[in-house]
Amino acid sequence: MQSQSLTGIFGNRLGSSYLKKRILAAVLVFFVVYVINFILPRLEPGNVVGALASSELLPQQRQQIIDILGINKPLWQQFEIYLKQTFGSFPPNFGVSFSYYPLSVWTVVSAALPWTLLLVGVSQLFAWTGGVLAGAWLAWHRGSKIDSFLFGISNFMWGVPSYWLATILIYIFAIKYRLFPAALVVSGTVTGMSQSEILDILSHSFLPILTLVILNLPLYMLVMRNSMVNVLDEDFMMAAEARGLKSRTLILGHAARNALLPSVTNLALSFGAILSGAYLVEIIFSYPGMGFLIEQAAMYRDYPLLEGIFLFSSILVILANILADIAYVFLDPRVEY
Amino acid sequence: MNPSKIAYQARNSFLLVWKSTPGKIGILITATILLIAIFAPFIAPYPPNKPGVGPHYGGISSKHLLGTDDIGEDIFSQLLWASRGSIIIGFFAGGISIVLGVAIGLFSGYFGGRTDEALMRSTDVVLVLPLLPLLIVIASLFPASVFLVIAVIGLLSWPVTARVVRSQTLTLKSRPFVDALRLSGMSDLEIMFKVLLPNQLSLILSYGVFSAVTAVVIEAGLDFIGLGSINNLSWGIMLYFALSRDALLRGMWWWFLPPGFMIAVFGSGLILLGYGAEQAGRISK
Repeated sequence: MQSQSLTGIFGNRLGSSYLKKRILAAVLVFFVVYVINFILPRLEPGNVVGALASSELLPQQRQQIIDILGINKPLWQQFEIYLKQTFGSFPPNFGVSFSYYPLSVWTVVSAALPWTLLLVGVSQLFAWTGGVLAGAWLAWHRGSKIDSFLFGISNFMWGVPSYWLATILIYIFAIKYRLFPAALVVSGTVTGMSQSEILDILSHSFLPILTLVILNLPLYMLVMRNSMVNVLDEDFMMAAEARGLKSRTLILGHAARNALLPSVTNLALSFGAILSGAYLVEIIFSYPGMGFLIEQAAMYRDYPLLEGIFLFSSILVILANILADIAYVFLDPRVEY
Repeated sequence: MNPSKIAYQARNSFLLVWKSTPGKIGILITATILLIAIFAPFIAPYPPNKPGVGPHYGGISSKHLLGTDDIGEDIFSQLLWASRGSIIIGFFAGGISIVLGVAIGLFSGYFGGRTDEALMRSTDVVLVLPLLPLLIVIASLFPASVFLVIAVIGLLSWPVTARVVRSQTLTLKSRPFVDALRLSGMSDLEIMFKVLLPNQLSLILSYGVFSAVTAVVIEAGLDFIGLGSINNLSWGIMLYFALSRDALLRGMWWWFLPPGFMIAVFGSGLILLGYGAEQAGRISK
C-alpha cells in the first residue's frame, strides 16, 4: 500500500458511503426518540397537569395550565410548536425542569453529563482494555481450569444488578473497613481544581468506577475470548504458526486484530445497558450525574427532565455506535465504504 | 406433527442439552428455581407478607434463616415467594421478545428486498433505544403495573434475536431443499414456520435467554428507583425494600445480599441453558 498522509486516509474513509449511511441511520434514531418524547406525555396529559398542580385547583385554574401547556390544541399543531420550541434557538430548548425551576432541562442535564461521562469513560476504558487482554489470554489457554472458572464468573455477571454490586462494595470498603467514602463526589463543594480537590474526586469516584469495572470487564472478556477462539481455529493462523512466528507476534499481530471486531461491536451494542447500569450505580453513591438526576426527576414526576435524560442517553448511545462504526472501518479493511 | 413425535423430539433435545456441562448446570439451576417458585407456599416457613412473625430487624437464627425485616416479616420466606414475580417477568417479557424477534427475523430474511430493508432499519432504531431511561419515563407517566413493564421490555428487546434469526434464515434459505419444498407447493408461511423455524430453535433459545435475563435485571433497576409495582413481590422489590429500610447501614447483609444473588444465579442458569442448547444444535447438525 502507498504511504498516505493521515488526513488523506481519514478523509477517504470517513467520506465513505458506509459511514454516511450509518450517520443517516443515527439521525433517524434521534428523530424517533424525539417523537416518542412528544407522544408519551400526551397519551395521559392529566398526569402532567397533576404533577404541576395539586388536585385542589379550581377547574378554571386547571384549564389555564392546560392552555399554557398548549395540550388542548390539535396534535399536529402541538408538534409544530414543539419543533419550533426545541430548535428555534441555540442551545436547543428542551423545556423547563419542574423540580429545578426555573432552570432549563438543557442547563440541568449539561451540568450532570460530564460526571456521567467521567464515570462511564474511565470505567469502560479499564473494563474494555482489561477484558480484551484477559479474553485473548484465556483463548490461548482455552480448556484450562481457569478458563472454565472465569467462564462461569462471566455468565454470573450478566445477571448481577449494578446497584446490588455497589451495595456490597459500599458494605465492604466504606462501612466495614472505612477505606473509601461511600457517597457523593466531593467532601465539600467544588470551588476550583486544586490538587487536593482532584484527589478528593478520585477517592469519591473510586468505588463507583470499581463497581462498573467489576461488572463489565468479565462480559468484554467473554466476547473477546469467544471471538479469539474462533480466529485461532482459522487456516491463516495455522499458516502463521507453520511459518514459525513467535506466539506473542502470533497473538498480538495476527489473531487479536481480527478478533477485536466483535469486541468493538459489543461495546457499541451494549452501551445502552452499560449506561443504565451506571445510572443505577450513580444513584446509590449519590454521584451527581445523569442517574442521580433520574431519581430526582422520577420522585418529583419532573417529566421534562425525565424526557431530556432519555433523549440525551439516546444521543450518547448513538454517538457510541458511530464511534464504533468509525473504529470498524479502521480495524477491518474489508468493510465496504 | 402428532403429540408422540413432539414428545420424542423434546426428549431428544433435552438429552442433547443435558450432555454438555453448561447445559447440565443450566438445567439444574433453572429447574431448582422453577420448583421453588411452584412450591413456595409449601416450602416457605412463614407467609411472605405477615408482619410480626419475628423480631424487628432480626438477625439470622434457626427460626428465621435469613432474619426478619423492619416490621418482623420473614426474609427467607419472601425470598422463596419472590422467585414467582421475577420468573413471571423474565418468562413473559422474554417470550414476547423472542416471538417478535423470530417473526421479524424470519420475514426479513425470507422475503428480502424492501421488507428486509424496512424491518432491519426499524431493528437498528429499537436496538439503540436505552431501555431503562425510556422505561422510567413510561413508568412515571403511567401507573406502575407488571403488565406494563413486561410489555415495554418485551416490545423493545427483540432486535438481537431478529438479527440472528435473519442471518440464519438467509443461510438456510439458500439451501436446495427449500427450493424443492417451494416447488412441491408448500406456501411461504409454511416453509418459514414449519421448516426454517424448527431448524434454528437452539440458536433462538441461546439468544432468547438473554432477553429474559435483561428483563429481570431491568425490572429490578426500575424497582430500585421506586417505580416498580409493589404488588408484584419480586427479588427486585425485595432489594428495594432492603435498601430503603436501612439494611445497609445496619449491616444486615443477610437482607440485601440474597435477592441480588438469586437474580444473578437465575440469570446465569438461563444463560448456561442457552449455551447448552447452542452446543446441542451444533452437534445435531
